[in-house]
Amino acid sequence: MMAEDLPANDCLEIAGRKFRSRLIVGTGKYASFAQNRDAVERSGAEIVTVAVRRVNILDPTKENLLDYLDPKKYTILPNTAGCYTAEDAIRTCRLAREGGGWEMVKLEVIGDEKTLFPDTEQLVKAAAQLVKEGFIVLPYTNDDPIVARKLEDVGCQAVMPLAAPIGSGLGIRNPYNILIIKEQVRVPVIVDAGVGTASDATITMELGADGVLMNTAIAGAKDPLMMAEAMRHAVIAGRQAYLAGRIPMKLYATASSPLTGIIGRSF
Amino acid sequence: MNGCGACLGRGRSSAEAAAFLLGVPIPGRRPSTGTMKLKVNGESLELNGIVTVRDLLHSLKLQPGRVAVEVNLEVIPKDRYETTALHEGDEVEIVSFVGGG
Repeated sequence: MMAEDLPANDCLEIAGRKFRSRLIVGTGKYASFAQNRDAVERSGAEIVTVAVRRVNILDPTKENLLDYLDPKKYTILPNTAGCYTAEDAIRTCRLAREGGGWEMVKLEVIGDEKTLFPDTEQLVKAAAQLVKEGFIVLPYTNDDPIVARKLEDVGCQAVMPLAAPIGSGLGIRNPYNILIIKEQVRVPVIVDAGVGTASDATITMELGADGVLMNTAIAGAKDPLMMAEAMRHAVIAGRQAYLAGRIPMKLYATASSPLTGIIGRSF
Repeated sequence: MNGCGACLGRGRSSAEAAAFLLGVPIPGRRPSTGTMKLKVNGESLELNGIVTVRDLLHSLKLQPGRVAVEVNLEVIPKDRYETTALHEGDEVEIVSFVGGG
């Protein structure tokens, strides 16, 4: 779609579904539905996350997020944000599937209000049950290679380790763990949460991650639309650099210009 | 989750139960004239003339296509809104999709 500078066969593939964009964006915290729609458009993302919440029965508002983000155009990825137990997360996924007909879910089981780090014990339990019920499960997890492996073992179709706490903008705190996770699992590794600016997304992709998921970095920027576009470029640039293969790091200089024919030299 | 198992046999005749299983409208059931107490999204509501999930959505002015409904922890498929009867004290959750990350 927007990744025209990458090889045609370079796709993010989740459960047999192919996506040209490796950027997944959230839909929270925007000033308006219209701004949200425009930011998603400029990010080039093909997958967007949404949350599942009780309707306000006393005042059902007429406008709906999905009036602005056409589910025919975008793959909608409902999340289980705010769930603190496997049971609540499973209920939320079942409701999301019935409400929208989507089988792919972003599974979150939060363990702590302050850090929003996942409760990985509950996460693995919920993931196993949801896989049994036919869901395509994309779990938000911590940057722990062992948990990532367990999630793959129970049948998750991707793993989504955090770069840093949700909304923190700290960038990748432990790039080496992301590298180890990428080495140890066969399903796509999508770094989810913690990206602050474009370079964070590029670094993530340069590490070999299969994708990046972000929300606050775009929605919270002074100019969300420009940041959305910056993130599109950043993810493509990082992917290109990864595919191109970076040079090894060395302690000392290696001249780029010829060492011969320099004026004023007698040798 | 088909949402019907737990509700069967609660105040229904066998004909009604069969109709329910087949997913056809229950014949002969008229909107109740009495009130029914339900817990909807954590709020205690006392509603008039509610028989089915569809009636509840209608009375709350909610478009059935835009929401998902759970009754006593069972997700109700959209095609069963009309045939799923609600009962006094049922706990109902009605959700929709909002912005999130």
